[in-house]
Amino acid sequence: VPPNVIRVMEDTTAAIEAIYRSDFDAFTGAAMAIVRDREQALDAVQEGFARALRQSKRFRGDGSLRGWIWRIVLNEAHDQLRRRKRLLGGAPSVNGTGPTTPGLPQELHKLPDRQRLVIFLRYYADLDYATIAEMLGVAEGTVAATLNAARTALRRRLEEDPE
Amino acid sequence: MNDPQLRQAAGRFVLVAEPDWPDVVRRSRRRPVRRRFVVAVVLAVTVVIGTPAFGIGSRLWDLVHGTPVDKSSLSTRDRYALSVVAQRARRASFEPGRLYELGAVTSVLRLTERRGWIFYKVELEDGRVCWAEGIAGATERFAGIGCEHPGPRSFPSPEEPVHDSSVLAMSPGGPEHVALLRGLATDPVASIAIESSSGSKLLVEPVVDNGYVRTEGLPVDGTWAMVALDKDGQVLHRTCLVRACFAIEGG
Repeated sequence: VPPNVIRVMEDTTAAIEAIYRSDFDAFTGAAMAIVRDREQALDAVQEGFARALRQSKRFRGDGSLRGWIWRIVLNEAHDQLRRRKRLLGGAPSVNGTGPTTPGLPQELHKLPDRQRLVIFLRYYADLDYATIAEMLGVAEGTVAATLNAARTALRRRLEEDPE
Repeated sequence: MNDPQLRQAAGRFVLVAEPDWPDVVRRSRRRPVRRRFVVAVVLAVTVVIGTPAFGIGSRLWDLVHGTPVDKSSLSTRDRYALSVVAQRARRASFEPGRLYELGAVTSVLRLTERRGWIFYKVELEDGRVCWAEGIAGATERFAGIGCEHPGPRSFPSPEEPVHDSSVLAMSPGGPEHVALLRGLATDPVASIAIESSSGSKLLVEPVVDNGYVRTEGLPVDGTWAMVALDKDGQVLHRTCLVRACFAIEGG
């Protein structure tokens, strides 16, 4: 392997580790928003980054490394959710992690998967529409529409049940 | 409800946990086998209940060469099997005189035949894909069938190039081994091998027309894992076959 290629590989590995350390909370939170199970969320993040390391040679630099890793981790979380659904033969059970008191956090847990994830990415991870769209493989307009639908649903539910 | 409130609520998803980079590195050095463990668990269940029933969805593989099967030619028991999986019925006793409706079955394709076994792909109205197999010439086409919604890395895909429907023998006190080797494989897979724990090949079965079947000469002692090999003998996919393999290799 030419030395310059080795150098690129080392740099990519270091960059992946840096992203892991700096954005760990955001990644675990996003995984949690998808799988709603603490152990599975942590496993999805670890497996996702392990996959990113294994496949780092495939990263061609035609997008951001962070966006590429986000896609891998989110795919891993979705895969975990699918596996659990398959094993359970239907909708996954929520592992007792949702808020029990009425209010916005509880209503957020009740949102459809995609809306819940987009809310997290926008408001906690503080990602812009373009980045979220890149991660999820959708148009920016779809992100905006999903956020709007989520906010509308939350507002309606909170009005129906103000407690 | 304003943005700070949303930010605070979204923050509830964040976990109290410490990053563990060494664990990431360790995981990156081993081949993922958790998914295959799921498949093998179903295999084990298959042995127990005597109904080989599992399948993995199709998305990438070019299966246009499959031959459509006329649904009206299916036996009552085949129609029963399809209606059970289409309706996700967990318990439904077979009624010989009943006409089982197949409205939810979009298509039945005959894919390939190998050593007297025929493999089928069934597409359901709700998007699920089923893989089935049966003995050529039998009145009932389907000896086993299973369905799921295709995922991005489901069979057939580079990550999942094999759909194995082998039957494992797990007799009390005896060694776990493959009693019937069979399945489908994508084009790059040239052969399927059963390996020992040391990695030596106990058996190599060629893949012909995307199918592999072996009913005789299967190893009993030392069975550990199954690997899919390309034409150069490179491993494309690996699956634990016995419980000890799962335990040691992290499945």
